[in-house]
Amino acid sequence: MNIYLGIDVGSISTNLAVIDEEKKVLAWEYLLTGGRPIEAVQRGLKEIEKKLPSQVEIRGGGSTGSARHLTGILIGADTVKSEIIAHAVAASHLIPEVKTIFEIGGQDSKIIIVRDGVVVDFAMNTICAAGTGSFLDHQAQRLGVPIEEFGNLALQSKTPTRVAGRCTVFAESDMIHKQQTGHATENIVAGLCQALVRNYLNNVGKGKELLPPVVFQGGVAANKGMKAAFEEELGYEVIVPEYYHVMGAIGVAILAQETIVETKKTKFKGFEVSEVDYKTRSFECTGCPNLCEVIEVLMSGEVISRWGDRCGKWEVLEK
Amino acid sequence: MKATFPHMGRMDIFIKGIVKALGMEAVVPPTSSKKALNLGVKYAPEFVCLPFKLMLGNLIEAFERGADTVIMVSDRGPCRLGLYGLPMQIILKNLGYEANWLILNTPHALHGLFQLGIEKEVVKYRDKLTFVDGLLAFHFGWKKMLAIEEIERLSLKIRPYEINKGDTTKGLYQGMEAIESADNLYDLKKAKDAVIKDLRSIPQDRNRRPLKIAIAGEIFVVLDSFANLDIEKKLGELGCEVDRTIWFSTHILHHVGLDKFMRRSKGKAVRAARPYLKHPVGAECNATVGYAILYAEEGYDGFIHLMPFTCMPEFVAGGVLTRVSKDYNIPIFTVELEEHSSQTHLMTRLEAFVDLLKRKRQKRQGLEGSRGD
Ligand code: SF4
Ligand code: SF4
Repeated sequence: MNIYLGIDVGSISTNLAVIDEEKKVLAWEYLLTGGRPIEAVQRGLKEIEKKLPSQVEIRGGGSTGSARHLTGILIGADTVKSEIIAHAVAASHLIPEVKTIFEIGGQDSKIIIVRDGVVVDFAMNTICAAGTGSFLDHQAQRLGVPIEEFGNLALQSKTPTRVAGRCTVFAESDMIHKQQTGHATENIVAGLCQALVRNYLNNVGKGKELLPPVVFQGGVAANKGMKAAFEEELGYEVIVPEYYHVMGAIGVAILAQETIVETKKTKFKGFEVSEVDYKTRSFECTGCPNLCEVIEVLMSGEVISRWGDRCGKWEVLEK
Repeated sequence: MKATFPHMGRMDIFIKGIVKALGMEAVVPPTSSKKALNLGVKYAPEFVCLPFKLMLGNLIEAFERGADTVIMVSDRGPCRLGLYGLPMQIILKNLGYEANWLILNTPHALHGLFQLGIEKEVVKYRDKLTFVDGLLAFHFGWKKMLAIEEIERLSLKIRPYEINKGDTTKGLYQGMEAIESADNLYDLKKAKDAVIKDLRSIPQDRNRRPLKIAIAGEIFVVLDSFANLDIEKKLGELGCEVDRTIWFSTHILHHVGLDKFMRRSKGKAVRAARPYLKHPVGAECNATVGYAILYAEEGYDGFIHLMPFTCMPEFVAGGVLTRVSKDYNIPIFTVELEEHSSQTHLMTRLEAFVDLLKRKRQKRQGLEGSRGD
């Protein structure tokens, strides 16, 4: 059987997905990056290999996420794509008529506008953290609600408490205030979801035409309270796909498949890369006042790639 | 007197050129870096725009190196740039740095420079230095600046074709150094010609058909590659041919009214924006909007709008640009820059933007039935 592998390495989680020629998901893996992308990728590869049938041939591989370039070098990716594109590709594959994608992950959130299967506009939160998963985690902890139960609890609320959601700091102090004045936890939790949704739509979705069908994906899509809050605010259904948490990986696996149609031959180095000794290290260049932090990737002790220099002095490897 | 000035792109080349030709002394702050930025962020009001923070950082670093006179180019507002000088003076004074301040409002910048040279410092040299010396010095600085801009322009044209990623940038940085160290017009010309030859000889794949992207927005962040996170380099390496709408030289020429006959003058841009903006909003706002229209009409694939976070005029421009984008069918991407702006975030969005432009072009070509990429 021919299969394609996609890896999405973000700052919080590393996700892998394997699809077949029909783009059906055969296996997936979700693990924490923990600040060590190389280890996460190698661990993920080992785990996902175990879940695959024995007679498979990897025809192509792709990487996405904030560590996509590093990952691309490690695994020998056929395609290295920004997660915005990867998410859009996966969503339009599962729901071909999708027009709007909400993607909320641990560290960042995006809105992607799609028309006829092509990205035409997008936005990403870059400055405010109020619209991300970490914010919810943090508040859940503060309220003593396990994050897994957060969504169900929110759904029980009949009269959500209004929480100021303009920014994380305000939301937090406002929430504490509401807690002290005796609001029920489920109402606060539901109110928080609404505040987050408002904040997200106002900041990230500013000036965008948000037409249905809307697909809601990323780790936060597990939260039923968020889905309900979106639907209430928008007045129409929001679709949470089955593999909402590994959509980036699925998307880049599909892109790898597309690339292979053109290039024919994969550059994927095989599951053995989980055994290869890769390291990254960095140093500060003192060549000029820029003091760039140059990052090097080493394979078995040999430098195979460098970046981070502004002037090209280190990036161009002497052959 | 040890004069200093805050950085803005490679304006330092211009000023250093003048100072060198006059035989005066200047303390050039180290190029903008994380260190300058951190200093600026530490002492500036939190919500002031990024250019203020960087400039403040530059000045602190210059004072640490013994500067005692500040020359600063300013503007007449209505945004904060017109008021930059005063709060900076107060902040620096509180930090214990006393200095002479010479704040030049741009339209009078040239006049001010002469004043500085002739009235203050040059008194000492009066028997040695004449008005003609001043003119010659100015001419030399100007020529140097133009040389730098010429090789920058060339690098923008070559980068999308380079075969080995990084070659162009490396050549550009080496070239800027060579031009910087030229002492007279003759050496300058020689250095410039050599750099151009080197850049042209970079291995290139001329079969590529790069996307064309224009960059506009607030002047400081457009000119300063540290402030804009090397966006031109990033776009070039993603395979785009970039055109920058503002250069130091065009900015000066505009202010002295000499850019009237240039193909893409600021005046033309401001006029093009009239259907959307009838009144001057301030700084580059009207021009930003107008440039988007002009470049869309020229058939550019995309437009990038750079603005410092909390920048008033460019915030207005951003709002108008969403309409221009629809009306002229040109994708526009606004990048807000501040001290926490991350390289990774920017790269993710740039790659997606470039991808979007590529697909748009493919679709258009498919419709026209012409040959694909
Ligand atoms: S890598 Fe280049 S730009 Fe960065 S500090 Fe070294 S010499 Fe300067
Ligand atoms: S144009 Fe914008 S960034 Fe520049 S001074 Fe004015 S408000 Fe600040």
